Formats: sequence, structure tokens, C-alpha cells
Amino acid sequence: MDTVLTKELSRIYQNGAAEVKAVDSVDLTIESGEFAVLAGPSGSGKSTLLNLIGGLDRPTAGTVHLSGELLNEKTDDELTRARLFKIGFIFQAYNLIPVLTAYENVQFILQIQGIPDSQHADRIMPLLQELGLDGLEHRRPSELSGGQQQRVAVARAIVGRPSIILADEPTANLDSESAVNLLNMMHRLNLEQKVTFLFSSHDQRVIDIAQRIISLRDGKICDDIRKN
Amino acid sequence: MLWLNLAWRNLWRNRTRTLVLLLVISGSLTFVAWMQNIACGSYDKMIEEAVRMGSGHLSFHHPGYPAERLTEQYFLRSQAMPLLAGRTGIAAILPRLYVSALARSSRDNRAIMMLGVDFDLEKQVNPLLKETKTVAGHIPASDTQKLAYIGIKLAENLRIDIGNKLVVMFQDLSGEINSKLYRVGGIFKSGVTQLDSSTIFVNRISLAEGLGNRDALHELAVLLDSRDDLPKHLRQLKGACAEIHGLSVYSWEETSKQIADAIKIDSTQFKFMIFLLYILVTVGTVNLLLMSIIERTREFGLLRAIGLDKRRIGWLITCEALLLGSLGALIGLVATTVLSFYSWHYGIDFSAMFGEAEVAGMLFDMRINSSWEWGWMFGLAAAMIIVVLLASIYPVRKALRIAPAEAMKRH
Ligand SMILES: Nc1ncnc2c1ncn2[C@@H]1O[C@H](COP(=O)(O)OP(=O)(O)OP(=O)(O)O)[C@@H](O)[C@H]1O
Ligand SMILES: [Mg+2]
Repeated sequence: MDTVLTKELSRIYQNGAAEVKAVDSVDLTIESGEFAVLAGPSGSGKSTLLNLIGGLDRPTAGTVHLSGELLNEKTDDELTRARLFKIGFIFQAYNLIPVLTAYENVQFILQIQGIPDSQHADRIMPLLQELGLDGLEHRRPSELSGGQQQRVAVARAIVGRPSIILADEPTANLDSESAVNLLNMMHRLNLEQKVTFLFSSHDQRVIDIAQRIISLRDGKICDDIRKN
Repeated sequence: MLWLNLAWRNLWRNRTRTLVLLLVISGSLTFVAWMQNIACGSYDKMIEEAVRMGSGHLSFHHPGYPAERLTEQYFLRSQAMPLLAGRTGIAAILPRLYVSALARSSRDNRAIMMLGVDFDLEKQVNPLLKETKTVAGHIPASDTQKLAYIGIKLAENLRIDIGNKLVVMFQDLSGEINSKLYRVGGIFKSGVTQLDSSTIFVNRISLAEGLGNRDALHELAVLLDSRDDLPKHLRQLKGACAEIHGLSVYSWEETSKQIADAIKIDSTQFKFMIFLLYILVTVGTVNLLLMSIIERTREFGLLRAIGLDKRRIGWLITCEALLLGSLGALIGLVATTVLSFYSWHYGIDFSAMFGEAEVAGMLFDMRINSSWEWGWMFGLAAAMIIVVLLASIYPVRKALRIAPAEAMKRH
């Protein structure tokens, strides 16, 4: 089943008199269980496309379907709800709420999803373990390394059982060892738990781990390669 | 619980800012609530002294007397006394006559006001008839008919001293000129010029006989045990007086109108000051809350991105304001209680600043014990919480306007 389906998706920014086509008529399908990367130079439209798919931004033209639902027609509150239940977001940095511990940051999603407290530990602890965070659950973000923070962000993105995880350059602030490490963990979760990932990167070592490489240039898809 | 917990931790992210805000909120509350307790204490004191020097908490008069004060506007003691019989909560009943007269000594003469009083009754309650005000001789006893208690200035003007004679001339109730002979029994110094230069106290019965009716009164002043009972007594006595011709009852607010007005003006000014201060607190709180919102722009973007709707974001900030306001109000109430306890128990002596204060021909001692205005204290504290909540409206709206996609581009 298609998790993401975009048709002629465009996002045009008005920069004074000039128009910037950040995303330009993109037709893209992501299937359930994929581990795909959006690759492309800076300014090619990676963030804009991820934001459109995740309902953080609205398209100028075209449509986005997420698990069969048309996002264009949703109100802001419905989009927020879709983000809470269907999408896990990971950003480049400052993903975590600084006043909450690692555990609480992950738990926060379950709390606002309304999952009973009794189930929290059973869902959070294995995930933190899987991501190599055991023993760090009571630390605040400021007491964690950049790589550890991003792994907590992965845990938070995944804990609510979304249909897809959208990660905008999750490794950009990490040294390459941590970056590859993080990606390998994400890949393992993809394989074991069948979580769909779509992330962006311009780091070749990270791109190489992906199963599918979608290359963007000037807001258009210029290449789409699947590995076996 | 989740939101309060998160809000609480958010408050302490910027310790200094939160402490400053708490100080502003609790400091302002303490200031106004404590001042209110002191002000009400001073009003209480003014009223209590005024009713003792003046016409009591409530007083009986001939209906025209409070406005015109003519000698012939009298009533009979026997008309009024039955109305007070069996009434509980009464501390003192003071019958009085006021007669303007000409006083003549062997050396000089002066226009004066004669007060016919029951000395033994007055001594117990009237601050003017205290031995501390006596500079020579004594306050006459009730059973002495011929002794007068006179102001020091008057004694000087008439050039008389203890034991000297003075003759007073006045119109009696039928309009005839009458005269009486008194000896100076005591001389007082009240500090109020008008009293010291033109007042003499004499035995009421002897003066009433001089007027031609032993039972005549111009005033029957009633002191209550508690001012709280005044409305009840006033209502009942007004009802009873309606059926008696030539007798009316008045409250202290009517007979000491100048004092009542002075208090009203003072408390209105104070309310205005509270209003201004609360506006200042609002402005300060808006600014500091706004700063904390703008600093967290990216975080609000993140919260929106991971699925918090506007309602929840608004609620989170409201919780922060609520905690801030409540904590500030609590600290303010505790501080007010501590300060008020001190000023209630020990009193504050403003006489160093103001000396004794003369208001409307009466002299007030400036040692003030604050009262406990619990209604005001909690009202002001609740108003402070509301002020902080109101101050959060604009910052909340600002936070809700943050577009998540844009906010996430910031670092
Ligand atoms: N708010 C905006 N207003 C105007 N132009 C914008 C805005 N946001 C993005 N753009 C433009 O849209 C284009 C695509 O931007 P986007 O951020 O999607 O690129 P990106 O591939 O994520 O780049 P990077 O690798 O630097 O993050 C760029 O040319 C950018 O300048
Ligand atoms: Mg980008």
C-alpha cells in the first residue's frame, strides 16, 4: 500500500518579484516499509518537500495523500492530529524539549496521544534499549551528546507508531561515525519493525545506506534509484 | 498534571526572569494589601475617635438640629431613652446640650460654646475629657453643679484661673436672656484651636435648668460595642423614630460628614493607586512573558510539528501564567500577613512624619494599628492572578501565530 502519494506537487515562494519554485511538480510514491532518502544539494527543495508531505506546510498546487487520506482538504487542527498519530518528525537539531528527560520526551507523545500510563514503560524502554540509550533515560537533552539526542528523537518519532517517519537531515549536526551509527539503527528499526522512513541528506555515506535514493535538483526529481 | 509539570519546569528555565516576575507580582500585592490594612486601620481609628469626640456611632436629635443647630431645636431625654431600653450591644449613652453664650470675667468677655455634659459618663469614653488633656485643676465630677471645665486659650483671653468666677449669658428655650455663674474647676488643652479658645464644659442638668427644661437635650450620642452592628440599630431606630414627633436618629456618617468624606476621598485615591499599580504589573508581565515566548519560537514550532494543536500550546502558556500568578499571589499574601501582623500588633507611629493630624476640627493621634481586611487581601490576590492571566493573552496569541515550518528553520 502507498504510504505517501504526491501528484504534481508544487510549492512556490514569492521572493519579491521573483518566484522560487522550491518544489516543482513532484510525483512521488513511497510504499509502506521503504527506507528512502531525498538527496540533493542545498536549496534543492528537500526540506520543503518533507514539510509538504508531513503537513507542516501547504502546497501551492498538486496533492499529497498520506495513507490514503488527502492532506490538502484538512484543517490545521486535522493536520496537527495527523502529525500526532501518523507521522514521526525528526529534525536536524534541537528536536527535544529541553526541560524533559530523555524518557519524558519519548513519553510526551504517548501522553498527548492519550495512551494509558500503564503502557508507557513497556513501549518506551525496549525502544531506548534498541537505540542504545539504556541508563540515559533520566538525563535531560543538555546532558546528552548530539548523537544520543538524535537517537532519543528517533525513539520519540517511532513510539507513537506512525505510518511514516520523516527526517530532515537527521545527521547534519553529527560527526560521520555517529551519523552512520544513527542511520544503521534507523535501518534496523525499518527492517525489524517495518517502519517506513523518508529522510533527507547530502552526506554520501548516509545516502549509501538507503534502499532508495530520490535525487532532487531545483525542486524536481531528477533521479530515483532502488537498490535490491 | 502533565501540563502543570511542564509549565512549572518551563518557568524555571530562566531563573532570573521568573524571580524578577515573582518579585514584581508578590511585591506589588504585598504593598497594596498591607497599605490597605494600614489605611483601614487608620480609618477605624479616625472613626472611633471621631464618634467619641463627636456624636457617637449614632445619635438622636431634633430633626432640624444637625443642619441648623439652634438652641430651641431640642428634644426630651424621656422621648429617646425608651427606644434604647433593653437594646444590646450599646457601650455608652451620652446626653448633651450645646448652647452658644457670652462668657464674661471680671477682666474681659468672649463668645463661647457651652457643652452641657454628664462628666462621669464622658470621662470614660471622650478623648477630649481625659485627665491627660487637663493642664490645671480637674475635670469636674457629675454631681458638682457650679464648676466649669474650660479651654486654655479661653482662660488666657478672659484672664482667669482655677477658682475664678465667670458669668455666662444665653437665651433660654423661651427666648429670654438668662445668666449663670460658674467657677473654673479645670483647664484643658486639646490642641484644636477652636476648642481651646471657645469651649466650656458644664454640668448638663444645671444648664438644662437654666434653659428652662430639666429634660431638654440637643444630642443623645450612642456608642456601640461594634460598628458592624450600626446598620441594624440604625434601621430599627429609624423605624421607631418615624412615629415620634420631633425626634430623629442619625449615623456618624451624617453627623461627622467631613470625616466620612475625608475617608471616602482617601480610599478612592487609594483604589486608583491600586489600579495604576496593577496596570504597571500587567505591562511588565506582558513584556517578560513575551520575551520567554519569543525565545522559544523554535520550540513551539517543534511542538506543533510533533502534534500539539493550538489549544494545547495556549493551555501550556496559560498554565505557566497561572502558576506564576498563583505563586506570586501566595508569596504576596504570606508577606502581607507577616507585615500586617507586625503593624497590627505593634502599630506604626506616623506621628514622627505627620505629628498629630487635625481633620475637621478633631485631633487624631497618628499611632496606627492596621486592621485585618481579609476580604481585600484575598480580593487583591485573586485580582493579581487575573492580571497575570490577562497579561498572558497577548503572548499566547503571539505564540499561536508561529508557523511551524518557518519556526523550524530558526536555530
Ligand atoms: N520561506 C521561504 N521564503 C522564500 N524562499 C524560501 C523559503 N524557504 C525556502 N525557500 C527557498 O526554497 C528553496 C528550497 O529550500 P529548502 O529549504 O527546501 O532546500 P533544502 O534542500 O532543504 O536545502 P538545505 O540542504 O540547505 O536544507 C531554496 O531556494 C530556498 O531559498
Ligand atoms: Mg533543508
